Amino acid sequence: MNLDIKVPMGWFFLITGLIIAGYGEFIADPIIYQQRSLGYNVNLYWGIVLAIFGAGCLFFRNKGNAEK
Amino acid sequence: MTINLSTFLPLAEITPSKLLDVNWIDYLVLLIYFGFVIGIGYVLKKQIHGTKDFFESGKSLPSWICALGFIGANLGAQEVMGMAASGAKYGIMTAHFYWIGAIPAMVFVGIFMMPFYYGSKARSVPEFLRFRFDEKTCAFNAISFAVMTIFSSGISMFALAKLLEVLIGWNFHLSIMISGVIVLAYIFMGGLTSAIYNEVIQFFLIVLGFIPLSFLAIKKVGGWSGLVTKLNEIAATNGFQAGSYTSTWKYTDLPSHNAMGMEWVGIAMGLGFVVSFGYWCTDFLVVQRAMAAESMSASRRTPIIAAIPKMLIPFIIIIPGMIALALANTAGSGFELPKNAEGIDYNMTVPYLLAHFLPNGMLGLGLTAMMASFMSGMAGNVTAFNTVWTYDIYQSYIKKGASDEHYLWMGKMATVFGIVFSMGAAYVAAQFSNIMDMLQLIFAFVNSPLLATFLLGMFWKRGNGHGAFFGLLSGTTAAALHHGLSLPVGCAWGFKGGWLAHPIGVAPMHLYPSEMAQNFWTAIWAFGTCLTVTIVVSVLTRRNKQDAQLVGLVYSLTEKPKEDSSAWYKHPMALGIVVLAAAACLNGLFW
Repeated sequence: MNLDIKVPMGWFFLITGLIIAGYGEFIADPIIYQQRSLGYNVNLYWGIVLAIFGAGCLFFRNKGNAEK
Repeated sequence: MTINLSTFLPLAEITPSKLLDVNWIDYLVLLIYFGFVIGIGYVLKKQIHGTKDFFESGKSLPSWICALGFIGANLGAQEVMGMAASGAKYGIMTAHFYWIGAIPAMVFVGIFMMPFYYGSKARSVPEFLRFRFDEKTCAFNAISFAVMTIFSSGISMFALAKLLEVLIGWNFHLSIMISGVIVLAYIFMGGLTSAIYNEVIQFFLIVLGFIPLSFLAIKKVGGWSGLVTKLNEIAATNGFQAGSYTSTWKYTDLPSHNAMGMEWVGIAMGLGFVVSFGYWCTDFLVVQRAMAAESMSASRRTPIIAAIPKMLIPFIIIIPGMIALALANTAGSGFELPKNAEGIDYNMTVPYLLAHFLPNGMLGLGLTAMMASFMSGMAGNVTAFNTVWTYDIYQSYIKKGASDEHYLWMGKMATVFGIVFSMGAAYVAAQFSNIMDMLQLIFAFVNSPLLATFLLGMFWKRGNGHGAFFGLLSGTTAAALHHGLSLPVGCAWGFKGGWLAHPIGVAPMHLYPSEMAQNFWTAIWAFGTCLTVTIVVSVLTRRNKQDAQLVGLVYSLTEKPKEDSSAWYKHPMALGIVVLAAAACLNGLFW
C-alpha cells in the first residue's frame, strides 16, 4: 500500500497534541488541575509529548523516503 | 479474549446520567479522530483494485504494522474495560491473561502455525480447514465464525452506545448509527488495510491516553509500595491471604487463597494452554492480521512482535484498576468505585478513573481512546466477517467461478449488511441481557475444540476430514454437557451453568469456586474430547487426503521455512525465545 501509516498517525498526534497543549496553557482554568490531576498541567505536558510523538512519526517517514 | 462479556450487563441497568463533564475541546479531539479515520479509508480507496487488496491488504504490509493491528484488533473495549475491572476485582492475577494466557500462544502461532496459514495460500482460517480436512469441516467453522463475528460486533456497538449514553448523555440510537456509519465508511472504502491502519492508531491512542492516567493514579496512591500496603489490608479484610492482590502465582495453591478463586493447575492448563492457544492460534480475527504481512517471514514475526507490547499492557490497564480498588478503600481519597443494584460495578472502573483524574482536553483523548477501541472491535469483526462470507460461503456455495470484480463487489456488500446485522445484534443484545453470557459460552464451546483440530491437522498427517468434523461436534457437545452439569458457587442455574442438571431435579455434578474456574475447565473438557474423538475416528476411517495433498499443510511433510534475513532479531525462533524469557521475568517479578 502506498499510504505510509506514519503520515496520518504523525499528523493526528501532532495536531491533537498541539491543540491539547495550547488549550492547557492558554484557555483552561488552572483550577481544573487542582481538582483532577494533582496540580499538574497535564494538558500542557502530555500535549507536548503527543506532539513530539507525532512529529517523530513524520520525521521517520521523511527519513525513510530520503533513504529510498 | 476470555473477558466475561456479561461484565457489561450492568451498563443496561445504570440510570442514564452524564458521568463525564465534557466540553468543546473534548469533542474537538473526537471530531479530529473521526476525520482521520474516514480520511484514511478515503485515501486507501484508490489503492483497492481487487479482492486481494480488499480482503488481504494485497499481502503487502510490514510486520510491525501487522503486529500492532494484531494486538489492536484484540485490544477492544471489552479488553480495556474488562481487564481494568478485573484488576479492581482480582488484582495482579489478572495479568495471567497476558503473561501466561497470551504470550506463549502468540509465540507459538508465530513460530509453528503461521508457516501453514501463510504457506498454504489459504485466504482464511476456514479455507485452511478445507485444504487440510474437507468441505464439511470448513463449512462448520465458516458458519459458526460468521455468526459469532456479527454478534461480537453488535455487542461492541451496544456497549459503546450504552456507555456513551451513560458517560456523556448521547442518545442510544444515534450512537449506534454514528458508530455503524463511521466503521462502514472506512472499511467499505479501504478494506482490511483501512481496518489495520486504524487499529494501529487506536493502539497508540490507548497507550498514550492511559499512560498519564496510570501516572496520576499511582502517584495519588503513594507509589507501588503504597498500593501494596493498601491492597494487603483489603485482602486481609476480604478473607484472602495478604499479598494475594499483588502476587500472580504465590497464592494459587488453593482457590480460597486468592480473590480469583483459581488454583495454579486451572490457570496453567485452562488459561495458559487451551483457552489462550484456542483463541490466538485459531481465531481468524487476529490471524487475518498476520496473513496480511508482506512475506512469510514477516507473517511469522507479526504475533511475536505483537507479544512485546502485549506483555506491557497490564501496567496501563490492570494496575489502574488495582489502584481504583485501593483508592476506593482509602478514607479521604475522594474516589469511589461505581455501584449498581448488585453492588460494585467494576466495569465502570475506567470511566470513573477518567472522570476522577483527567481534566478536559486529556479527557477528550481518553474518551476518544475508548471510542476507538469499541470501533476497532467492530471493524475487526466486520473485516473477518466479510472475508469469510465472500470466500468461504458465497464463493464456495452460492456463486462459484464469478469474476474478481464481482467478489470485490460482494465483499463491499458484505461489509454493508455485516454492519446492518451488527446494528440488529446490538438491539437484540439490548433486549436480551443474557445474550452476552450466551455468546461467551459459544466462544468457549467453539474455539477450544478447534485448537485440538488445528494441532492434529498441522502435526499429525493421519488426521482426516471425518475425524476433524466429528471431533469438533463432540468437543462442542462435551463443552455444553460440562457447562450444563456444573455451576459456579453462588450462581443460579441458567446461563451460568447447571441447565442440564436442574430441569431433571439433580444437583450440579460439580461446584466451581468461580465462573472463571468453570470456564477454564469447560475449555479443557472440550479440547480433550475433541482431541480424543478426532484421533479415534481418524484411525477408524480412511484418509481422505494422501501425503502429496498435504504438503504445506502438515508439519512433517512441509519444508521448513527459510528466513529472509540473517539478523537474529528478525528470526522468529530467536525473537520468540527473547519474548518468552521476558514474559518469564515478569511472572517472576510479580510472583
